[in-house]
Amino acid sequence: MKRQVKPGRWLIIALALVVVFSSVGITYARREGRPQNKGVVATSCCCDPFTWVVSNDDGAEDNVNPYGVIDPGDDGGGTDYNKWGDQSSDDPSEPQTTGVGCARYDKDVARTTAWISEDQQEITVLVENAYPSYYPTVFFALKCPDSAPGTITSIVIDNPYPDALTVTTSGIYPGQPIPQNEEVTGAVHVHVEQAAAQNAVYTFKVSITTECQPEVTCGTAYAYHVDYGTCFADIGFTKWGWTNGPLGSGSYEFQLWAGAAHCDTSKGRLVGQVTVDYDGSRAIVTYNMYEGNWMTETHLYVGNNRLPRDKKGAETVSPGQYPYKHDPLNNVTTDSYTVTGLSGNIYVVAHAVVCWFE
Amino acid sequence: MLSIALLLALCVMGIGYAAWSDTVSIDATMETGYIEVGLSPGACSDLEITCSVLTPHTLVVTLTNPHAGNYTCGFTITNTGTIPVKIQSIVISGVPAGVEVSVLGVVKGMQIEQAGVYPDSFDGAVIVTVQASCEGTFSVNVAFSFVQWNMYIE
Repeated sequence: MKRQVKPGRWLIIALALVVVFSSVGITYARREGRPQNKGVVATSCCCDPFTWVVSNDDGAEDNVNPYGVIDPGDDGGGTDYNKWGDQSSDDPSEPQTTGVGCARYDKDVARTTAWISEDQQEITVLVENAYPSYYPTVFFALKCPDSAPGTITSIVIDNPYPDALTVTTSGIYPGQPIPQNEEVTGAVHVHVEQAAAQNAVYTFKVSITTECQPEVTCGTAYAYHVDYGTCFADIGFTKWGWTNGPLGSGSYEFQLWAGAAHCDTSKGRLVGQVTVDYDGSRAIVTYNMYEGNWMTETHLYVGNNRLPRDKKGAETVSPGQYPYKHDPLNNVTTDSYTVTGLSGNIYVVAHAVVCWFE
Repeated sequence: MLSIALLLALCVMGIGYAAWSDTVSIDATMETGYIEVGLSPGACSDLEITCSVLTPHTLVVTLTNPHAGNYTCGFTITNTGTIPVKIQSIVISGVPAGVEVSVLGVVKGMQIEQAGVYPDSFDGAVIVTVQASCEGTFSVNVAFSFVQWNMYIE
């Protein structure tokens, strides 16, 4: 015999699910560009973009997995003339395609070297002893983080000396997808024109804008002071988190830990700090995120008891029961409360939902 | 059913990603080389003939009261630049009647490598043949022009 369930109960369940998963959806919802709110833009870059770079006139044929030799012909020789020895090769006289040889002069007069900065954000190219008709190519690859797909949104060539230099790119284009866990390869070709002056220095810049989609992780975080913090578990609760106190008048600095289950900070992520300035009647509580983290909500308890109480008067650690809340917050990196009407020693329970890119 | 539908819909929302734009750059510096060729006079065969450089690449050979015969003045072309060059032209001018002038040792199309690389210099000579003795002074110009080696026009 089937058990009958009242329609009203299903409605309550459905509404509960709406609330729960809406919060999940808000947390993970797609953002356009960098997170929009203050401070979050200061986080580290989503992409570790340049993975390798190869010049076709630095004297070395570079074998890059899985492509094979990128720049055949860059063999370190000079057929009839060899200024740079094995540091360069016969000079390219036309643009080179990845893995395919190109026409070269019978002399090694100029040289082109390229390298990637330590943070992989920039490639530096140095062309030495160039002359009209010299035509080096620099190959490169860029990617998004392992788990993230992305797109090349723009390629801008800033060439202040178009009469002296022609700079082109190949292999990459605006709108080009960067597949998940893969790299895309491109090349920059430089042609020295007849109008190039002797004994001159020219510069140019190629800017590539990518939009990557790293996964966002969000977690609950609590403030903790090593001298004043008491784990919820130590006072009879199953959830993790800390109440901090008793605090007399003064200034205090707390660590803000996310994901520190069982109050084990070795398993958590230090996402920021919380400061408390208490003058005996007023407490100013300020959350500050470390770079790469932002908040979507905060909840705060400040009072003379070690924990807030629910409607029935029982101690509670559920953030929704805390008397002060900023929910939702729009991906902020700082948040502040001013609590007045205080006296005596106080306790502080500071909670936040903190997000970061994996 | 309603709750299941909501569950699925909102889970889909939750699996979203944040998109983050970033700009990386390729910064290039190009230093060009230069062409610089020196021409210097050498020793002359007789007192009647002298040699000097008028412009960077023009040799002036002067004869004073020459007798009939051959006179020679040496010169050296040196590439002091950073780019190999070729001699694009050798132009002799100012030759009076009864006199013949030729250049030995260097020819049009000859390549001179850049400074410090063999061969970055060549020695040549201007030969002046005077048919009959004459009084007075005359000068002959021998002008050289040089181009980047791969810009040479046959």
